[in-house]
Parts: sequence; structure tokens; C-alpha cells
Amino acid sequence: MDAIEAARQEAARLHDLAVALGDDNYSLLCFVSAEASRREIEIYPVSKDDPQLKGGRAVFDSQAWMILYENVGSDFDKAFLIAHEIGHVVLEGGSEDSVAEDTEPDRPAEAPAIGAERVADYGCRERREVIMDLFAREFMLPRRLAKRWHIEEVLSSTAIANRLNMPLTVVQQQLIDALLLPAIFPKPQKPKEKASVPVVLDPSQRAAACHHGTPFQLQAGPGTGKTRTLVHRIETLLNAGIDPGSIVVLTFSNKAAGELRDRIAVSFPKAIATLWLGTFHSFGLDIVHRFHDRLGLSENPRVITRYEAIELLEDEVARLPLKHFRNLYDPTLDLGDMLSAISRAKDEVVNAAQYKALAKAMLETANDEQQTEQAEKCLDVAHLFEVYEQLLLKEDSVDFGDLVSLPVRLVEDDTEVRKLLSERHQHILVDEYQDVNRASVRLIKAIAGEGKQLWVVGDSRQSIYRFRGASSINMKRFAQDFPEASVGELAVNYRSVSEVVNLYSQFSSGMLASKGALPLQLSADRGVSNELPELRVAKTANDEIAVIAAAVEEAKQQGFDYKEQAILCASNNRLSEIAASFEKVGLPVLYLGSLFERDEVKDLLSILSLVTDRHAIGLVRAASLPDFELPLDQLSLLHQHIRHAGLEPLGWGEQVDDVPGLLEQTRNTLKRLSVVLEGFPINGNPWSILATLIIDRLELAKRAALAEDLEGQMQGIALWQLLNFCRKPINGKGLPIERLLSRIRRIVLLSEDREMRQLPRAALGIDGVRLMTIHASKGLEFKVVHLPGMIATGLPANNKPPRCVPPDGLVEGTEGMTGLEAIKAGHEEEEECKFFVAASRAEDRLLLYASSAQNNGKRRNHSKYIGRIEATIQRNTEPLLLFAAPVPLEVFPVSTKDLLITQKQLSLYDRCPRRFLYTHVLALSGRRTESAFMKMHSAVYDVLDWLVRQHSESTPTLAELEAQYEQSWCNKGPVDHGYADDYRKIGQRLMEYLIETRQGRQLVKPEVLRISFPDGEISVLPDEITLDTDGNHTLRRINTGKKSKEEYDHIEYSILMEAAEQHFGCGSRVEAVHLAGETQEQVTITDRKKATRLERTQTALTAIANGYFPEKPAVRSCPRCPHFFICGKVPEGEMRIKI
Amino acid sequence: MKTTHDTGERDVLHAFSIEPNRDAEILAVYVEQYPQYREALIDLSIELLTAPNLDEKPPKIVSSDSAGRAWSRFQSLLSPADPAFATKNFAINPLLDLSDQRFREIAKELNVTRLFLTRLRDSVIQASTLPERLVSQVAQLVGVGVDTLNTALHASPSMPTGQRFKSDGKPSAGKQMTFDEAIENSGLSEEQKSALKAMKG
Repeated sequence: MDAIEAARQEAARLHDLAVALGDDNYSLLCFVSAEASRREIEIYPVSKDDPQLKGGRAVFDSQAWMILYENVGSDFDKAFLIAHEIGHVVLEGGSEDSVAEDTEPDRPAEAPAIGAERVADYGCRERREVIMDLFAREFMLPRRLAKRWHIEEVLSSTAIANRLNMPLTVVQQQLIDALLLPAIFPKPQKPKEKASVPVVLDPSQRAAACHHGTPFQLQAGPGTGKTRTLVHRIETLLNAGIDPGSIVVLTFSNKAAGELRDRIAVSFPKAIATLWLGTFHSFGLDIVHRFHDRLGLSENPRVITRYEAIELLEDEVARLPLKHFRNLYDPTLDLGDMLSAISRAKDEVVNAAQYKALAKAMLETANDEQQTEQAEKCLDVAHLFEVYEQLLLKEDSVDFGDLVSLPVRLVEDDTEVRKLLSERHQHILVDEYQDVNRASVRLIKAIAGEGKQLWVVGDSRQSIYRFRGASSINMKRFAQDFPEASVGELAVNYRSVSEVVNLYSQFSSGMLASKGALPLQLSADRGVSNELPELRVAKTANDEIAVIAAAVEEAKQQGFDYKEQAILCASNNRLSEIAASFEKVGLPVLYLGSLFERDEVKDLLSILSLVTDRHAIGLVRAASLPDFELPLDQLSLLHQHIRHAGLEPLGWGEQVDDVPGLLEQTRNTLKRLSVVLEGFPINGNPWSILATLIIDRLELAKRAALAEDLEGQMQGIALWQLLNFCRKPINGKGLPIERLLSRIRRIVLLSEDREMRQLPRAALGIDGVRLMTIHASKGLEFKVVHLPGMIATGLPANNKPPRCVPPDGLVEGTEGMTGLEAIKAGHEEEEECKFFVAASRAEDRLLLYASSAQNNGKRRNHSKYIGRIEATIQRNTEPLLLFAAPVPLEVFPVSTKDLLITQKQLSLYDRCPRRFLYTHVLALSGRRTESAFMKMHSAVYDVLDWLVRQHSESTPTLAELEAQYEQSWCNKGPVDHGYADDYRKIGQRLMEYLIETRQGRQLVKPEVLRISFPDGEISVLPDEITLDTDGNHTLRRINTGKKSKEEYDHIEYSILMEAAEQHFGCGSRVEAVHLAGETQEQVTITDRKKATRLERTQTALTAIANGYFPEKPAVRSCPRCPHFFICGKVPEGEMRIKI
Repeated sequence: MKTTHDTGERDVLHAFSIEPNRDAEILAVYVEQYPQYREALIDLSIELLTAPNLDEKPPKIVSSDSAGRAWSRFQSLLSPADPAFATKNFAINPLLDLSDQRFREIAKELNVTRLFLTRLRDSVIQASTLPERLVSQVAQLVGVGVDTLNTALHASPSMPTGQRFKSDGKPSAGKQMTFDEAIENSGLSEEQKSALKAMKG
């Protein structure tokens, strides 16, 4: 239990005591005042600007033993201030004064898992203020009480708010905490913890902790008590009388910092107020705050995340002369890739000007096409970099990379700053030194100088954060960076049985990361277990999961609880598959997965979308919920009506009785649904609406609170995380709900939701098998570790270099290598480290898994790492399997007489059958919020439509074209945009290019061509047809974007070629025109490929006729699909294809 | 670095430099009394600290000790937002020196609210508006001479102990009120108010 929870539980206890003594907890001001007077604290309301308030809203004066509070606002406001100060007295003893400046009664107990709050974290003082706010809220409305009132007395959040005269948001936040998260019970004190046993260090730990006089690097293998040593080191310094204010401890994560803080607070509670403890990012942010004026920033610059940066830059992309990253339709991914490259540059303290110089140098020395392309990509990034830096300054913002690179520059260039910092921060300790980037080391060098009082600990073999800019040379170069350094190592492993230690020790001798490190020579304190780690070999990948399931169950029978076991995967890909399989088998698994793709979250987001979506496509998902089931054909009638009536969002609610053909039951259900959404304004706050939906309207919170199964609990946790995420308002134009939904799409597209897979603290007690990536397992340990995927392409995985490779010479320590080579060199080393980290998580048992056959029956090789550890494992080639009953494929009965589909529709089916279902069968005209780019495209398409209608055989005059473009632009283009002109020019160029490609060609009016298949027909309408000088026809397909590498693999081209052949004979051609890329090319497809694709077309038609519309999820497509939020569920009922 | 000093500043700097015990606490006194010379004072104190001192301990003691601590205090004076800012207010204010228990007792004995007494302690009440009778009563209860107490009451409003502020929100510890105003907004009962007003003589 952490400090916040402990504070809340104390507050609840005091509440109950007060009520038992007869205080009236319905009158908050009296209730709180009574508690104060019970403690003989005098309370005085004073005016807002009373000097005694010291600029705050409330004050506790320790000498006078009194609380002052500003006499402003409601009784609740005042009660809250008083309770906040009482918190200081109760939890801190009252020996010090405190001032409450900013209170936030409805704040959550944890910062959201995603976003800039994670970096900044709370400073020591702020953390205390957060704790006091939570104490105050809990004291006035304990979670237990709120839960009882809501569930047993059936009070809505509004009713509770009225009962106590407490603001609704505060009540709702408390209910959210009370109902959605499992309760945390104080752990019974283990007997050995009762006596304060002094910690005993082994000789290697002691030597490291007590070292002094020279810079020191401790190489600490896994499980060797590194944290204990670090804590002891800090305590040694404090015991020697070192001022805690001069000590800085830098950790890898805020979580690690928090844990360290708690441990040190046990013996040195006062020291942690001034001892600096946090991540490099937090430290950097601190420096930025202190010297903001020298950086041209305000005192409180905004820290922006990658997706916020993309939102900033989206508009700028239109004006940049980019060559390769020119996705005019949706620049999100390109921007994401480029920003990653920029971040990498900041890791190496390279600014925009230097980056450009490196890129130009690359271009000059480029020998072949590939090198030229790499260099041009770097130049593209350089252009963006320049604009980006200016924009950041203008917006008074910094990104994560700046948090370290800006201080480095400052400290390296400004002697005064350097002096101030090095005088203040005399003792620097760094944890996880193998994971810091080069910028961080430069910062340390600048501050610590020779580093006589520098103490770092790390393990080169656990360096798995290269992709985040960690520099692998830091550990190796320590003695160069800090001459006269001493190096030490820890000798004893306390975590694992010796068979496990042997396995990874054996592996370590061949590791690339071992070069330049002391050899790993650990003795296993726990001794032998007489059980070798095992390699279990399954047939197919699906079998592999069944083997793991059986092994988990077997371990459980042997006494290992589910929560003591972990499945560690090398990548994210298989996690949801494994989770789903485990759920089917009935094994509890603790895996939150991508939050925004969970069913209960999508249900809510679909319902939320109804508040702003006039097309009401969210009804499709709502109608598949158990309480609101509607047959599909009924829903179709409603949607038809909505489409024709042109209603406001939620307007359908009033028209339910007017829609022809609806059954009585349908009308009732729709009316009930309308009531659920009653009163939500179109520009409403998403958090408030979701909270009300979850707590009151849909009673989901209650359901989660009463759930006894793991799945029910996980649903509650997911909803809690969703609400936490939605709290922070998103800047920008448009309606808040729409901004939120756009933001979510972007986050999923960029895979930033991975960060949200961290569970809230309350979830950690749940008994389920832990399922996570190897990266997420860092620092953790489990009794049993299952490591699947030990196959040739699994570990080491193939190198996937980033889209923007760093320019040659950017990465320090890679002299002589190109950027690409530098990446490749790092990759192999890192893959070995991943295996090392995974294997070393195991305490008692380690199980490795591999499949031996691919899906097509061909053999699959084991990972080459197996060969290196052969001597330390045993093999099991006939392992047990635990299978779930196979789930039948979902079928949607479709009435298909004379199936006739266009080639564009079939193409959509090929990309994603489920999307086809939503778009063409259910005829849902979903529309996402359009970015400026998309609007420009709409305008261009508008002109293309006009061309097809009016000039399929002729050429418009320049005047006609311009007039039409003007009209389309005004109707559909991003006219209000700041850079409207730039977009307009781009759109104009697209048009011009199209006309250019038509020059000198004779146009023929396109007519529908039909191709027959056994199960139906495809109707093909080409965009344009020309009759060429050799008498042959060319069918033209016009695309607004750029030609992709596998462009002609798209099924539409094969269909077009078939249609051309059938109707115009052998010599006919198909041409692909790409406007943005300005390419015009004849399509060539081998006969074999064409035959395969036509077969695929046939299969598709058959599948449609039989009602198969499976989802085809893809990370880069789903978030862009208009049906992203509703996808997954379809109500039952008969449907008909609509063309 | 400023190169020209006005006379006032020079005098103050000189006074500081001849202080026998130039530690962080004394610096804080000076900075409070002469906020306009703050930066010059801090610069001077840093200079003086780094000047070789023949009484200094031999340099082989590695730990930062007093020098480091003094440094960190100086640093904290540069930026109040620094978490290391924990300057203790020094004891030239006899009211502040009182134990908690004694403070509360004195409030009772004076028949004023604790709030009122803190206003006295923090020099929030304009000293010129305080009745002599009250001041002598307080001095007697506290056990110091009237002059000592008066000096403290006349000092500029002090910052409270161990508190931390955001760097932009200047604490409004600078505002003062008259004795009459203090009577009205310190939560005193009618009877207490009359008793105090009567002291005006």
C-alpha cells in the first residue's frame, strides 16, 4: 500500500470514529470543524487576501495550532480547505506550517498512464498536497460509504451530491475510485517485519555502498540486491552528515523513484524532503524551470507528448518542401516517424542546424540510389526539425527530448549555470546506467566534473531500451568519461535458483554486451532446486499457446498461484492472442491490453459518440448490448430515416414514433436508450458524461463493484483508466467529444496506448497470470516465467530499422558506420539482452517454448540462442496441451439474390470484410472529424466527380476547371484554416497534374462493365477510359495519393485488368495515376498473380453470399476506419446488400 | 556583476562583511532587511565563503559538510521555488521563539485569539498603531524588554518558517493592517474587542 492509500484509509477511519461519536457527516462544514476542535485546533475564516494566508487558500500554523482558510465559496469549499490542513496535522504531526495553494477536490489518485503528467511527476511538496487533497475527500465521503449509498441505498451520484452539498464531480470521482477499483486491504504484518531488523549487506554490496574518493561504477547482475545497495549508499552519505539537499538520485522511472523514496523514508523521513529523487526527465524539467529565462521560456512551459506535437505540426506539413514523407492524406504516421528521428537526435544533443549539416554531408557522399534516398529522408527530417524547434519556442513548450538536451546545452555553454548546479548537486547517484542516453551522461559530466562523488550502477547485459535512445556506450565508456574511475560488481544472486542462474550465465559469456564488462560470476544464494529449466516444443503456434496453458495449470497444481507466474513475450503482437486463448480456456490472466480496443471501452465510446454524431452510427454497437438489443433490420430502418431527415445529434430520440415500420418493442428500447443520453449537451465535457453514464445511467460501476470474477474486475479497471485518461481537456477546435475521439484514434495509430497497459496499483493484487512484454518486465521478478516464441524469427527478431534512419555520425560511438549500420549493430546486441532480461526474471522455474512447424506445414527452426544454452536445459517434445473448444465463425445471414458488387466495394471487402459490412451492408455513413488534409482531398474528389459527370469524353477549359475548383474548394475545402492557401495550392497542383495526364489522349465515356463469377457479379466502372493511338483501350484508375510499394497487389487492379480484357480484348491496358506522387504508370501484373487475385475475388463473393464478414484488424488501418469505435459487435437480424 | 554601488548598498555590504558569523542565517537577516540589495549580498557572501580562510580545516575531508550545506542554502536563496529552500527564520522575534504551548497560553492570558497573536508575531499589524499598553503587556508575558519586542514588531512582515512558495505567486506577506482592522478580522469576541479598544487609552 502506498502513501496515498494509507492516507485515505486513515481518513476513512477518522470519519467512522467521528460518526460514532455523534458528529453529523451530512453537514460537511460542521463535521470537519468538529474534527478540528476535537484536536484542539482553532479555525478562523479570513478574507481572501489576508496576509496571514501567505498567498494560499488555507494555512496551518504549527505554533498557534490553528487553521486559517479563505472565507470564499460554498460550505464544501471551506470544509475542503479545513480538511486538507487537518490532513497535514494528522499525517505529518503538525510540527511544521503548511500552506495550501491549489487544491483539487476531484483529483484522481494517480496521474493518467499516458501523457506529459507522467514525466513531470510530482515534486515532493506537490505530492504531499496531492495526498492531503485525497485525505480531505476521503474524510468527507469515504469510499466505503459512497459505495454503500450507491449500491445498497440506490442513490445516484446526484442524490449523494445533494445529500452532502458536495460538487458532483467530487462525488463521482470518489465513486469511481470506490466502485471500479478493487479495494486494497492492509496487509497483515509479517512477523519478521515487525522487529526492525537491520539490513545486512554482503561484502560486495558493502564495498560498493561505502566506496568514496573516486567515480564509481557498480556492475550489478540480475537479482543481486542492487536497490538495497543503492539505498545503503544513500544512507551512508546521510549518516556521514551530508546535506540531503546536495544529493541527487536519478532513476529509470517515476515508479522506481517512488519505491526508493519509500524505502529511504523509513530511516530518514526528513531527508527525503530535500533529497532530489527522480528521473532524468524530471531532473531536466527542474533545471528548465530554474533557468527558464535563459532558455527563452516562461516559468512553466508545457511538456508535450508525441501526439500533441503531431497535432501542432499537422498544419505545418503543408508548407514544408518534403520529398519522401509526403502522405497528404493523413500525415500522422509520417510525422510520428520523423518525430522519433528528431527525438533520437536530441538524445545525442544534436540540434536542427547540426542535423541538417549531417544530412547534407550524407547527401554529398551518397553513392547509390539507396544511400541517396536515406540522405533525402534525413533532409526531410531536418526541414521539419527546424520548423518544429521554432514552433516549440513559440508555444512555450518543450518535448521529452528537450528535457535533457536543453539542460545539457545550458550547462555546457553557461559557466554560471554550471557553477550553480555543481555546487548544489554534489553527490550524484544514477540507477540503471545502461539505459541512459548520451545526453544524460553529458549532463552528469558537466555537473559532476571529474565525478569524484559520482556513483552509478547498471548492467550492460540488461540494456533493452536502445529504441528509446539509450546509449550502449555509456557503461563501456565510464572510465573514459570519468578518468580514475573504479569499477565494482555484486557477487551474489538472491533471486533465482542456481539452475536458472547457470542458464543465463552460460548465455552471457557469448553476449556482445559482455564485451567491456566484467564477466558474470554470480553465486546463487538459493542453491539448487534440482529442476532444470525446460524447453517445451509444440507443433504449430496455436498449439504453443495450448502448451503454455497446460504448463500454467501444471505449475498451479504444484503450488504456484497464477499471480506468481508470468508470460513474457518479445513483442506486443501475440499478447492479445494469448490473453484471448487463456480466457477461453478459463485461466485468469492479468492483461489489460490496448485500452481503447477493449469491448467495454468501445461500447462506451460508441455511446459517447452519439452525443455529437448526427448519423448515430454508435447505435449499431449500442444495439448489441444486452440491455438494448435491437434486430438489425429494425436498426436499418431507423438509420435510413435518420439519413433522410437530416437531424441534429440525438434528434432521433424524439422521432422514434414517427419512423415507419418500427415494432413496439423497438420503439420502447430506443426510447430507453434515448433516456440514457438525456440532457447531455453537444459540447459537453467527455469525462462528466462518461462518469454519469458509467455510474448512473448504465450502472456499469455497480456491476464492476459486485463482480467476483477476474474479467469483471478487469472491466472495472479498464473503465477507471478510461476515465482517468479523459480527465485532461484537449486543446483545439471543435467539440470536446470529437476532439477526444480523434485523439484516441491518433494514440492508437501511433501505438502510444502501449503505455496505458500499465495497471493501476489497485490491480496488482488480482490473482491472474501476468502477461506482458519483456520490456515491461524490467525490474520485476516472478516465481515462474514462461517464455514463448523461442523460434528463429522470434528471438532474435529480424531487424526492423526505423523509417527515418539517423544520419551518419549522429550516434556517438558509431564513427565509421552509416546510420543504418549503427542501428543494425545495436539490434543484435539488444536482442541478446532481451533474452537475458527475460530469463533472469525467474525465481524458481523457467520454461521456454517453441513451435516446430509453420502453418503451411514447413519446418520452423528454433532460436539460435537455444544452442548456446543447450547444456543448461532439458527438452520436452511431447508436452501436454490445454485446448479450448473452438469457437465457430461468426456468420451474418445476408439475403443475396443476384449478388452484384462494384469493384470498389469488393476492394473494401478485401481490405477488411467487417468494414465492408458496416459500410455497404448496414449502409452506415460514418464520418470522422476531418483534418485539413482530408478536406482538401474532399475538394479534389469533388472536382474529379464533376469531371466524370461532365467531361468524361471532353477536356474542360482552364476557366471551367478553375471555376469548378473554386466551387469545390469553397464547399469542401479547409477554407478557414490558417494555411488555407498552401492547401489550396496543393489541391490545385493535383488537379493540374490530372489534366496534364489527359493531354493528347482521346477520352471515352466510361460505362459499367460486368464480370461474372459463380456466386455473383462484379460491376466495374473505371474512373476514365482512353482510346489510344494503337487502337487499344486504357482503363485509368485515379488516386490522389502516392503510389505505394505494393500498389498493384491491391485486388482492384486485377479486377480492372480482367474487365479490360473481357470487354476490350487482349491489347487493353490498365493505368494507375497518382496525383500527389505525380506518377502515371501502366499496371503490370504477372498472369499467376492475376489468377490468384481473381480467385480471391471469387472467394470473397462466396464469403459474402454466405455471410462471412470477419474483422481484419491492422494497427495502421483500424484507427483510420470510420467504424473504429463500433467495430466488434453487430446486432442480430436479416440484412440485405445495398449497392 | 554590478560595478557601481550606491553608498547605501556599500554600507550594507560592508556591515555584512564584518559580521563575525557570516552564515546562511545572518545572510537571511540582511536579505530581509535590505531586499533591494539582495543579489549584491548573495554575491558577496559567496565570494567571502570561497576566500581562503586560514582557520579552515585541511582539505582532505572529502564530504561536503558545512561548505556544502551553506552552498545549498545560498542556492536556495536564489530561487524560492527550489525544494532545498528551507531557511529557518532566525530568532530576532521573541514571539517566534516561544514554544508552541507558551504561545497558546499567552494568547489566553492576553485574552485574544491565537489569530490575533500571530498577526502580532508576523508584524502584520502596523506597529505604529499598536497601543503601548498592549505592547508592554505582551513584552511582560513573553519575558523580554519592551524595546526588543518593539524592534521585532517594527520589522517588515516575515516569511513563515519552513514554507515553500511557487516562484510566481509572491506571498502576500508584505501587506499590513492597522490595529483597528486587526481587531475586526481576527475572530475576537465582542468582549475581547472592547478590551483591546480600551487599551488605546
